[in-house]
Amino acid sequence: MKKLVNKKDIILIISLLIIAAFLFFVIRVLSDPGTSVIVRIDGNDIASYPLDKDTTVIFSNGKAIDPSDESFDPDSLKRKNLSDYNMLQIVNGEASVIEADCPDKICVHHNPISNDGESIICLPHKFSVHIQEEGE
Amino acid sequence: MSKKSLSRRIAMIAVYVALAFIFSYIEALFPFSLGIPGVKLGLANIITVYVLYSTKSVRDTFVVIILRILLTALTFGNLSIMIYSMAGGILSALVMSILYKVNIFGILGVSVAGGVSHNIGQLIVAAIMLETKEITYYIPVLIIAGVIAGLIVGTVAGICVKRIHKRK
Repeated sequence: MKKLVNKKDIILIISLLIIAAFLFFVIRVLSDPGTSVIVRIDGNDIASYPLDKDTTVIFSNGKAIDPSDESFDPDSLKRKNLSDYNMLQIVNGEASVIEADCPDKICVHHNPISNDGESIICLPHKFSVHIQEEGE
Repeated sequence: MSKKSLSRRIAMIAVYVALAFIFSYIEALFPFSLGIPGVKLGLANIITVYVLYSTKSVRDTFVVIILRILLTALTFGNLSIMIYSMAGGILSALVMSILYKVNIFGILGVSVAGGVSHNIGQLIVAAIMLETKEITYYIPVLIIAGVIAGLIVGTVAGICVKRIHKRK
């Protein structure tokens, strides 16, 4: 009968946690505040914005929506006309997805990102927001 | 080779798949958001680990996990969700089966390895589908989440194997 826990299990768990902590600090040390936000849809870079300028953009069906479009109205009922959309907001040097109509809304619940290499991903819409340093 | 009759094996596999399906459903009822994608408990893997240790059959384990993922994804998800779950599930089943056969670790260690490899499998598919390598930023979080999930799954499955599975 195989045992429930033996010493090697503890070694494995601790090793994994050490590896995770190590990678975490390596990434932390190597990461710098980013300077630009890249929006990628279905593998293609669609748009990029500077991180230091407050911006709000809606992406729907793979394209950015014109800011003058009525769907930017705070009255969110108008946004029901959009399909497969994600709303990107850049404010205070951080980027986040503040609204989306995907089923799980993982992108909306994600913490705001600001460091080089960080990203917010919406799998159902194949939509992702990445922070980059200038010149990459 | 299992001495049980084939029809008994088929019936048991069906029971396990149904159980795992319900576990997935119950887990989905409680929205669990940590602000980071891919973090979940994977309660259905309690069944996976239990099947591995009680039937002692790698083949049965793979059948249960594949059927369960197909059923769950078709019922609650869509094609892309199925790809992620399948990648994570198959890698997890593979790693756990190998570790089970090699017999270095107990149930807890195998479950932890299963939890971590499940997350890594999903991460790899996400990196391919989104054609982005920055996703590797999430590896530390997913390792820790996999360890925690594996601890829960392994503890419960271990208790079940001890108490329910009385044969041999």
